[in-house]
Amino acid sequence: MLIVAVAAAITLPAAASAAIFWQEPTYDAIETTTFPPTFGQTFGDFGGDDVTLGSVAVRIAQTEACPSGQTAVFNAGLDEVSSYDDTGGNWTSTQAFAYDPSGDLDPEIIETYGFVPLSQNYAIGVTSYQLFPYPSYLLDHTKKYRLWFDTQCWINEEPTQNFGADLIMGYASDGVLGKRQHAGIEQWVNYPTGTFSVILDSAGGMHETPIIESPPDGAKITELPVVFTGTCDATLPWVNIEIREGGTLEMLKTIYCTDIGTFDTSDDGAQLWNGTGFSATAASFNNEGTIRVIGDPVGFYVDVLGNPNVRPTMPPVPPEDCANADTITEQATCWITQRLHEMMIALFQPPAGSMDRFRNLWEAVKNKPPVGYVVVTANTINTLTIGTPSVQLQGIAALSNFFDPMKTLLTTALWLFALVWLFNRAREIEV
Amino acid sequence: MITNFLINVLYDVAFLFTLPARLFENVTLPATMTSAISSAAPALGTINAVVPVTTVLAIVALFVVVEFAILTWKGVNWIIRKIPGVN
Repeated sequence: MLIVAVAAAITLPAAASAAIFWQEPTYDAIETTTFPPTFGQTFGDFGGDDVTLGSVAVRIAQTEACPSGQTAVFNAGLDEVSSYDDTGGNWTSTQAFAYDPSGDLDPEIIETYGFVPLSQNYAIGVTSYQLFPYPSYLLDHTKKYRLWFDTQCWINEEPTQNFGADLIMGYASDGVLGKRQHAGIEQWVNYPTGTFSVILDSAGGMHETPIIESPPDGAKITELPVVFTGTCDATLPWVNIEIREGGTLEMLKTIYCTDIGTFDTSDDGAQLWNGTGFSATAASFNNEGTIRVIGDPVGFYVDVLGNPNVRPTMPPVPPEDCANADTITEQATCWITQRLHEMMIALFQPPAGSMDRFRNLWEAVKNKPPVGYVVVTANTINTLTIGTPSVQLQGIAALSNFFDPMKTLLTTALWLFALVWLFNRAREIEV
Repeated sequence: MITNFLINVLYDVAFLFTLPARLFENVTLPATMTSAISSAAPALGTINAVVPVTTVLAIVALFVVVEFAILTWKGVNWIIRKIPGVN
């Protein structure tokens, strides 16, 4: 059965006063290509210094049980990425090291697959924190790295399938926990550069990540629930949903359809800032590498009052180096141009978010009298719909051949009269 | 700097102008009015069999918007004429 429809919608926490609108989505299978074996983003760029990798704080909760008799294994590792194509998702890498935090693998398997068992047995299936004490590992600031996770069910020394789990990673840079749901397929946890959870100790040596308490669910006001629903495809049971802005990946959600039914991502969320250029795409795929993009990207915008998520700003363009000018005249012209440029920016460029105060003021006033009477009345009238008739006029249904053309004629006449009235009213306006 | 100053002045004026209104409680419509509107839905459904209700409502909305815009325009002009030296 083909994926026949994916209805997309965003909902907001009840406390948020906001409006998010989706363009009406239309989905059809339009493309078939090869799905890359893994995907995500790299991290790197340590400010020009080589640093030593320390530890990673991870909280994991198993959300999907393995079949009877099979062992749940949670693996993690670090790869050094040789090349990566952000647009195509193609990359090559060399494994630096890998772990079997569950401690349930046989030594032979560990050796075969290169896993390094931890001395501490990690009881998967419960929600708790786990520190991965990576050995001191020198990170080259000129290279890219990827931390990966994999949740697999094993039997007879072979993995059989992935199981679902929730992963929560600590963001060492700001001490805030970020959540990425691991839906049961080998995938890269997606981190933007600079907010990675590892402790990078420039002094070298081990450095333990502090245990960071997860904020209570009610405090996650920055996370907008993103809801996608649709019907699963038997041959392509995985569904990838991406939210991008300007080509930059903001959210990646992978869903596995456990049976032929509908999928629902209502438990997931995305930290999106206010903006008009968001688009969401969906694609289904299978483990054999077949992927089917579902329809065109769905465009939408986010308009959340007091949205604490701030759009990442591009670094300022460095000014032209006037020292490279050939003559003194050119240097002087360059210098004056730069100063004028800076002066115009200082004079006329308003600070970011300066207009948000007006929206906050409107929110505070719109329900107060006298404006509130208009707003509330208009909102109430907007809820007025043409309901199901409580009284059926006898004979109407039988005479629909007569009434339907009459309604069309009446509609045309009413609009004609309205236009004539509008024209005459406009002529009477005294400026 | 200049743009920011103008924005701040506009905001301060709007803040002061709306200060009395913000002291009041939120407006709530009488329950009879909301129930009247909700109970109008099935009645509209009955009438819609004969009369194009959607068109009628759209034209009424057009009428209200145009008249309100004209009234606002006249109000703004009236305020401007109160400025000394402006006729």
